[in-house]
Amino acid sequence: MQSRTELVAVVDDEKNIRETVAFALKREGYRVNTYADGAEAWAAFRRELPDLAVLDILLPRMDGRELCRKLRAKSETLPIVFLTSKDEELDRVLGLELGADDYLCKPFSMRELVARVKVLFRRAALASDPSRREEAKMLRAGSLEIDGLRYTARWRGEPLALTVTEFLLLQALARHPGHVKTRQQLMEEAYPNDAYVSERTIDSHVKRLRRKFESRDAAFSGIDTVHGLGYRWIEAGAE
Amino acid sequence: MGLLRLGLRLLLFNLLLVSLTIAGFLYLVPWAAVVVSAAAALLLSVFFAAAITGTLEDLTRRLEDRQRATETLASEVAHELKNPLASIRSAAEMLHEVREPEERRRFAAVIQEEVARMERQVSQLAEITRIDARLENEEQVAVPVNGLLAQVAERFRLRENGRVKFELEAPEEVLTVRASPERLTQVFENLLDNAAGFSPTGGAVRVALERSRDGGALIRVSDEGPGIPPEHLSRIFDRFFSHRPGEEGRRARLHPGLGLAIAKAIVEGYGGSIAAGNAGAGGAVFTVRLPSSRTGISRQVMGRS
Repeated sequence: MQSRTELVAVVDDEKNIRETVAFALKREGYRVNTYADGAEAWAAFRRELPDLAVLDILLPRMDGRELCRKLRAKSETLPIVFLTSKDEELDRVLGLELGADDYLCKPFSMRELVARVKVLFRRAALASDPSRREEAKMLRAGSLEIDGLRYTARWRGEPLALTVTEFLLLQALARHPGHVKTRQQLMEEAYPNDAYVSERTIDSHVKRLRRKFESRDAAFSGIDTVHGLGYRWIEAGAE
Repeated sequence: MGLLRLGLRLLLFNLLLVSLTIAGFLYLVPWAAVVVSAAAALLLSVFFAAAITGTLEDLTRRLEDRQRATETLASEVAHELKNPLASIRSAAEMLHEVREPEERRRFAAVIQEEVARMERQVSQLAEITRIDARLENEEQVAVPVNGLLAQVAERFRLRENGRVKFELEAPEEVLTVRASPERLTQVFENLLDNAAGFSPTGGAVRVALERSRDGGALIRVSDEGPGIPPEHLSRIFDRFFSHRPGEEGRRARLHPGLGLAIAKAIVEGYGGSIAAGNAGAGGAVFTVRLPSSRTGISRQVMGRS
């Protein structure tokens, strides 16, 4: 077990979920504080900000979305992971610009959550250290530049604000431009530790990813839907 | 559904043409008869078409309402079952990874607890989806509310064993309503269960019965708990809505949030109403109004009991 000092806040009104998540993260060496509702969490965050927050969306007393907004106002870089229990909820949350760094649907895999937490800490640490750059982990596809070490992507030289899931999906697509990736393949690449993720979840993440490109260029058509099969990256549509 | 109506109209129009043709052949020359029979057929078909489409439209609307309700229910259920599923999944994963017997016992207990919760949710769910059908099929009798409330209160006194007091105020006169005694018992069991769940140790749950102005029964169930936050008043009877004051306490575990929804469905099924509010002095108050049964029948039942 590595010894870390990062503090993770876990906010969920379900006692068993909260405690199991806390247990799993403590096993990885993180310090963990748990809160049963949004107001209680916010009272604690005002005294001391955690280094990462895992938030349920539907929380008593203060909604997870509101808590996320308040956290974002205090820190632009603090990694935030949302847990959601409805596919529709995911669509709704993804539709709003909350600035969360990742979303996992309940029932999520604990291994997947722990893996995401590690990635987010790594991403946060490397973001403040631009010196390290491993060419082996860099991927270029036309105007797209993917940094597999930092979990960041740049398009036409400008950084894209992607969640970890969106990043993994983009990486999977851009690795083989023109080739169709089925939803099943995308699932395996974006959720390597999860046995089951619904296809709808993949669709809503792809939709969201596309929207992020379109907000830069309304004519963006780099992610092509292949009816009945899946998605593919088209370089010509993303020049 | 417009399609069905169109199909029906076409069918009737065909019938009309056929009858016209037959009439034409039968009478051959007397055109007046053809015109008369055609007019009769036309009138009849218009009449039937209107009657049938009216009924069909009504039926369709009810089916569509039902379907929408089912869809909403399905989505609520999916959402509600995901929380225990998430606990079970993560506890099972941890059980696989940890070796310490103490921790393993803890995760096994989480799995058992959440499975029991899902079981309760599923059985209550079956209950609520069947209420409408059941109320229609169950025999309704004149039920003396005084006696029914006394029985329910006594059961809760035994159950809570002094932790919470149950006080019943009822008038001398016996008030009766038409219902299935089992269903009506369920209404008050759910209300008392809810009240007891929110009561502090040593608190009292009051059940007051009185005759309403229209001659029906008016029952108030009040507790000394924290009351209902105003923002929750409009949702308190929603399926799966359960507000958990502060920490999860014993409430959230025991209640999948269907008890009040079931009570509401039954009361409304009997033509009554149910409302939630807060007492000035604190605590929640649930008010149930039930229409009176016809006095003649109620006297008979009273005489027998």
